[in-house]
Amino acid sequence: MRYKVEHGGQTRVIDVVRRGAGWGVRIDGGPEVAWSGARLGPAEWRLGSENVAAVHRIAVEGDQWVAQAGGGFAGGTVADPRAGVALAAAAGQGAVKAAMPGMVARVLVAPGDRVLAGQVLLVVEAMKMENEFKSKVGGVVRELHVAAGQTVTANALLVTLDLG
Amino acid sequence: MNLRPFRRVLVANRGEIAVRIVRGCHEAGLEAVAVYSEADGAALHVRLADCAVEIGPAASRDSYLRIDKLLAAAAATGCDAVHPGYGFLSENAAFAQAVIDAGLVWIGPPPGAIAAMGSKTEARRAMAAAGVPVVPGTMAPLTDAAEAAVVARQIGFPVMLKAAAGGGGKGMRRVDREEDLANALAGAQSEARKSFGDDSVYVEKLIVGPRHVEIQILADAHGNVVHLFERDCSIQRRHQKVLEETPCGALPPETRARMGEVARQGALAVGYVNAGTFEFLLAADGSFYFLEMNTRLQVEHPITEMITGVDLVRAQLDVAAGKPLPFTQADLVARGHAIECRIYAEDPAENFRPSPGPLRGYREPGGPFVRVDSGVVEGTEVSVHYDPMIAKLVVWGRDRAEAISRCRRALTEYEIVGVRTSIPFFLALFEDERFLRGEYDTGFLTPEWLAEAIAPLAPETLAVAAAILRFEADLARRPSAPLSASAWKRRAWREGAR
Repeated sequence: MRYKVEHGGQTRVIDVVRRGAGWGVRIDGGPEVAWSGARLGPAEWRLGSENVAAVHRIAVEGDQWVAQAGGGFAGGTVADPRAGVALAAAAGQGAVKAAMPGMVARVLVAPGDRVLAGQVLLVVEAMKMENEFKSKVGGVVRELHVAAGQTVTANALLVTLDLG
Repeated sequence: MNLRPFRRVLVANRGEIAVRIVRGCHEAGLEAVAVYSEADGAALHVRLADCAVEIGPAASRDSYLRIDKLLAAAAATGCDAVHPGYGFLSENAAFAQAVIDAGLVWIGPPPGAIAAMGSKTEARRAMAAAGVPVVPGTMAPLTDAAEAAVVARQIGFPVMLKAAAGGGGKGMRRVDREEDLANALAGAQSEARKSFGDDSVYVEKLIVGPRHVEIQILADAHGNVVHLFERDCSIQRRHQKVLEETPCGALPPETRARMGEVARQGALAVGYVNAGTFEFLLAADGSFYFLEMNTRLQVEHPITEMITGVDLVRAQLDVAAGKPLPFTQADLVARGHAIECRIYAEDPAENFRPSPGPLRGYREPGGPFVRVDSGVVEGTEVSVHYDPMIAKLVVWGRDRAEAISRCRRALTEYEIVGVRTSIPFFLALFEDERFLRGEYDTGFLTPEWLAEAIAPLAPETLAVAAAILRFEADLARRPSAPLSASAWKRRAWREGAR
């Protein structure tokens, strides 16, 4: 099986096949390396190649992976390219998504508005805090997908922009 | 002696502090009744309590802030006392009075003391009268910009405008020049009106580069008041504490003693009973000024427990029952060094942006002199409705260096998969030379510092791990997959790991 995995701002193509009790893994078309391991807990795996295994704190849910590394957080998409998951869309071609769940407190733009990179598009309230959602790019607001007072989930599409 | 014994306590709170109070009740031989919103049915405080009552929808204003529902829960379960914890209704004098009027014991200070300290201007007046040093400024709300200008000229710029009903940094403005005063006053008043429904604003001198140092006090109903030393809470983000430690390295012994005595006098002046905290600003020249009093248990109370050996929740229960304090000031000795790290579900790499979500993997650290107060377990959903603090990591060491290395070890052991947390921030802080030398003030933590200190580090093997996990998930979902011996084995350890 081939997967496209987002990792540290890059996308890796990783092929995984079953080899005995473990896996054969190829990264970006490189040579196959034997991996083995076992699940230790709901989000804890001992994984490694060539007898060097490390504990990975990681979980996969659908097309997303989340992990803890060096005390910090890591994560991204892990997608099956054949399933037609458009990673380009996930990368945000004019799509502004909610970085966290919460309630839309205010919408500060309307369809047709020209916005600049860094401009605040809307404010989402979560955990007793107001969080500003800024546009990473400049463009024109094509569509608003949410309204004030509405509850949104993480990754929900908030605003679509026409770039430029 | 005026004893008011009780045997069943309603814990009017949630999360880690509800768990802490349930534990305190059980150690005192008391029963604990939990309350919970629809979002908290499986929460840890509900599981640990003797019984629990649902009090409404997830939003706090419909559940944890509903005085009527809390009193009904107490009546329905035969409670004879109420502990409010911190936050929510803990500093609400009307709630305290309603509890007392219902014939229940209020495990907290008298409503009159809560009200007196609730208004910052009133508290400033009362404390100044009791001989507690307050920051130079007005004792009453400002009427207009002209009055603000007169006072500001007297005490000297820069000055701070502050909401009388304030807290959490709302309705606060720093003003460096007289010509900016009118605009800043209008802004602070409007923010105060929006946040607190009260636009009273006062002005005080800005203490440049202060440390936030507070004194824990305990008072019984028999006129005994003791202080339990200080906590340094200068490491803050958005005017909220992130890390606390005790003792404070910038406090000479004679200043510590004077600050403790001043806090005792302040407590006596307002007829204070139960646990409370006097917050001070400590200036670089060693002078200190009263900031406000918190008329409740503090989030950071465990570090005081660690260095004094005093169980503050137990003391609260005993004092509320009418018992005298079992120790005098002379009995209290501070030993070693304690640090608390607040584990927030927030992303420090994004200036502490909230990061709610499910805890897919969760395991707390352990080992010698490590204490974790938390309200979550593996699988808990960290909700958008409540405070982002999910746990407090508290460590003790013989000295500061030992406490820091122990804390660093415990943080790396802490497994939290699913939400972003403040853990990387603490690990970066413990690498910072200025922090390690103890040279910091309330301005230490800036977005610039965060951007530089917190470098996300994720080994490439995580990408491979993600692909392997996805591969296994896809295999498990495919119904037609042949059940080979290895697939069977895989399934077995998947099941076993659940």
